[in-house]
Amino acid sequence: MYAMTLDEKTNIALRSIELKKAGKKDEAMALSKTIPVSLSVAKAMKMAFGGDYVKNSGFNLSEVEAVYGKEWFDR
Amino acid sequence: MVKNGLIDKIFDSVANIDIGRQNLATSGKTEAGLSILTDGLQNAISAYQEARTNCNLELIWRAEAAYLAHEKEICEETIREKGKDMANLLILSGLSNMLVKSNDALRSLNTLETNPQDYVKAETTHPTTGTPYRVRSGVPKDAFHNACNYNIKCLQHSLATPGINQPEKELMKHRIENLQYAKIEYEKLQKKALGLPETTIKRR
Repeated sequence: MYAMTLDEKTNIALRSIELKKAGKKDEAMALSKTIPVSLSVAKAMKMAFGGDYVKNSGFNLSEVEAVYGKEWFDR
Repeated sequence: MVKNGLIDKIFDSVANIDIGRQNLATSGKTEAGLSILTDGLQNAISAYQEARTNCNLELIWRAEAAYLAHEKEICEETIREKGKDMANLLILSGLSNMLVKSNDALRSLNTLETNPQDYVKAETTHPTTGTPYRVRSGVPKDAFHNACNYNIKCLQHSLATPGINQPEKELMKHRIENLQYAKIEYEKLQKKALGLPETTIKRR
């Protein structure tokens, strides 16, 4: 699996912020969702909103799935 | 039920707070890190305001839980990397307590909203007088009130801690305001379930 570097994540996040500032909120959110979510963020969101929401959120969960497996969301 | 668009906003804000902090902590990209962190915090404030405008107590507490759980994860990571420093252990313990209170609040809210009849029955198990058990209007000072009071106090304490940047302080102030608001709105729900008029102060 290709792991995105922090630099790459940072550049996408900055582009997404620019889009938001330009009033393109949907595009900004769509771009944000391509950044692989870190384990700490996924765990926090699962705790607060449940695994089902995280699994179906549309955010990039590749890092989480690589470490915990796809079944983690349902546990 | 909580709107997915709002949850996405919270998800995005927690993710940006995370990327922003990673930049500040490791890469030396201070400007980019601060910009992303600030965006995450501003998004969080906006989500909080939206939850309040929609009078969504569940979302207020779930958002609170998300930010607390993320803080706790970061704190645990720091302890794993740098060892068991007393200050970090204290922070971890405080965050864990706040998270337990968040779950307590959500449980109380769920019972009150989905099973008001059960809530009315459970109310009879509360002592009829005394400030530890009742709020001024006479409704039970249950887990929801305790959670609000506890987390407000912890956030006020954190606000007074040196070294916290302005955007983070702003978010903390909003979290405090939202929890104060949640307490008032919850009291209205309690009065409705217990058949008490909204304005009457019942002394028991």
